[in-house]
Amino acid sequence: MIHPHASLWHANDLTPDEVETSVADTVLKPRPDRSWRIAFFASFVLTLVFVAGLIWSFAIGPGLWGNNASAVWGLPIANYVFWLGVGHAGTLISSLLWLTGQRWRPAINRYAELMTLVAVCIAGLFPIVHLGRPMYVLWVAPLPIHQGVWPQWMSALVWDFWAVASYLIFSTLFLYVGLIPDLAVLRDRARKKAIALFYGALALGWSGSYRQWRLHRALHAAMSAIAVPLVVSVHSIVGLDFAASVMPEWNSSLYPPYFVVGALFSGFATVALIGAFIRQALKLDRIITPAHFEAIARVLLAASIVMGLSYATEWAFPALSGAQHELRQLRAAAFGGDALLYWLMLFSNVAAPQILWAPRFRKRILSVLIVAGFVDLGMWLERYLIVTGALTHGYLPSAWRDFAPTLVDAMLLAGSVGFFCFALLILGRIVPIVSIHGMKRLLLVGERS
Amino acid sequence: MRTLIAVFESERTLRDAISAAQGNDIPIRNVYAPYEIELNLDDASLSKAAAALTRDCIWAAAIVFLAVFALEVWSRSVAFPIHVGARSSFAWPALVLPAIEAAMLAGGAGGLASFFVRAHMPSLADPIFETPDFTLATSDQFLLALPATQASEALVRRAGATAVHGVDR
Repeated sequence: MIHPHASLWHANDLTPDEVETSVADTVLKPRPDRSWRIAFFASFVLTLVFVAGLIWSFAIGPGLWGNNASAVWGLPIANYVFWLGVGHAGTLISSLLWLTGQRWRPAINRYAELMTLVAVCIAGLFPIVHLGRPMYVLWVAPLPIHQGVWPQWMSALVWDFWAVASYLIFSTLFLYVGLIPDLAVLRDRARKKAIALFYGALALGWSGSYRQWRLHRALHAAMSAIAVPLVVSVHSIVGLDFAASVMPEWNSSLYPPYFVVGALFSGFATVALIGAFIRQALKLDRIITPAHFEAIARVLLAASIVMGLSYATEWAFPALSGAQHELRQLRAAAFGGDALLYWLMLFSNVAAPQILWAPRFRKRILSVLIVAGFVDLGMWLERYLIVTGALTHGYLPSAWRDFAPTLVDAMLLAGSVGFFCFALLILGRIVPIVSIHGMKRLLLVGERS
Repeated sequence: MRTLIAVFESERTLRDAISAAQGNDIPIRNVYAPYEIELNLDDASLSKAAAALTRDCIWAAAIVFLAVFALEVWSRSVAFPIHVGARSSFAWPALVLPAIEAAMLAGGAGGLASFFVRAHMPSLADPIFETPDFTLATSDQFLLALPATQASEALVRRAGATAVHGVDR
């Protein structure tokens, strides 16, 4: 019997068998749907652009980018912070929804976790490319590689290495833990022996025994409890990359919480966009419902208010403390050469989400997606303005230089979006994009997965 | 040891069979389900294992925190001290951050390792996999394992088992 309280989060007549068939078939059927193939081709072309941009950058060096003597961190670092923000949301969403027993978790948690994995991998590429000499990236690892010199433990960039590496590995383990029962489903449904062997090896002998389920739950609870502070600490450390410097605007205690909320904001927006694609392309509209988008809309609305408060605080700190350099930098952002981008960022992150106060917009998937698109655009612009704004308008007016992105900058940005979609499409053909056991439990028990 | 595997179509019939078995003092050897179900099986060792798994996470995190912190202090103060102005070679607020990140990773990894040990995984050659209807346990059926006796078989058939198999386990 379908549990009465669960029906908000799926179609009324959805059955466990239909969940299993529709989700497992996206992996097991030999030929994917047309919409998947079109998306795959488009994202593959952009991936080639990304690869070309990376090879070009590795071969020639950072001189190809818009970076200059003042703006030493350009678009690659803005892209790094943006992708890390997107990546931080997946595990946070999954673990927070698990700990709070949200019934809308099973439909979205899996692809949010996959999104994390891909986005953090992409983010990690940018600082490596940005080194100019990427072979030296190992110098931040705790190894006395170069003449016995250890990493500078008091550097925010070394903290960043530990934080991002820990987060990437933890997120992979967290994703795998949730996947184990679903891999066993694929093992038992696969008709070809080779595929059954592949998923059997990944499922590690999962039998669904009472003991395994009970321990699986204990493990999931422990990992979720660790994941929340991990996510908050990792993006706080990314905020410290900026806050621990002496540049005007960056040197602020606002940055760590500001970055954490921004990560949640852009992450939820991306979850909405990916969810809409999956819903249509994989015909999962009976599993991912308008109610999921309304729930995401509420989070976006709340986060937009916090972001608005953060932008106001950015002005309030220097205005009240009389920090003229910071005020001058903020005025340059709001009324200088990048003014259009600044106001577009404010519109996207603060004004546009306010339409979600109206239930008729919140309940319409299209309006939620439009807002989500604006939020992702606005969050990228925010990172761009943070990175280039302070560097191009520092303490010395004689050192002010404008930042202008180049073709390679554009290739890396557009290519990273393409690679993100490409990797997600591939992963969606290897592992179930929705938690099968979580949905079954939701349907039959009506409790948290 | 011969074990009887009974297949049930719903969680409710499974629960009825478990209650009947407990009422007749027939020990429950195992239960297999497509999703997590909560049963009153009075298995104290399982509760201890679940609690121990959480403890293992904490132990792993604590050990790695101390190890990384010690590495930082040693490498900064002894192996390669860098004296810059009046900066101290030991400043715990700066050193604690990598140690905390590594500790949280170790907590998760330690928990996963503990899960594998306590859940007896990997287990690629379990006799239960040879049961004809076993694949249904990951799909939509519920399997109950009892000692293979005539009383057990009669009980599960009365409780509504759709199939009954025997395995050596």
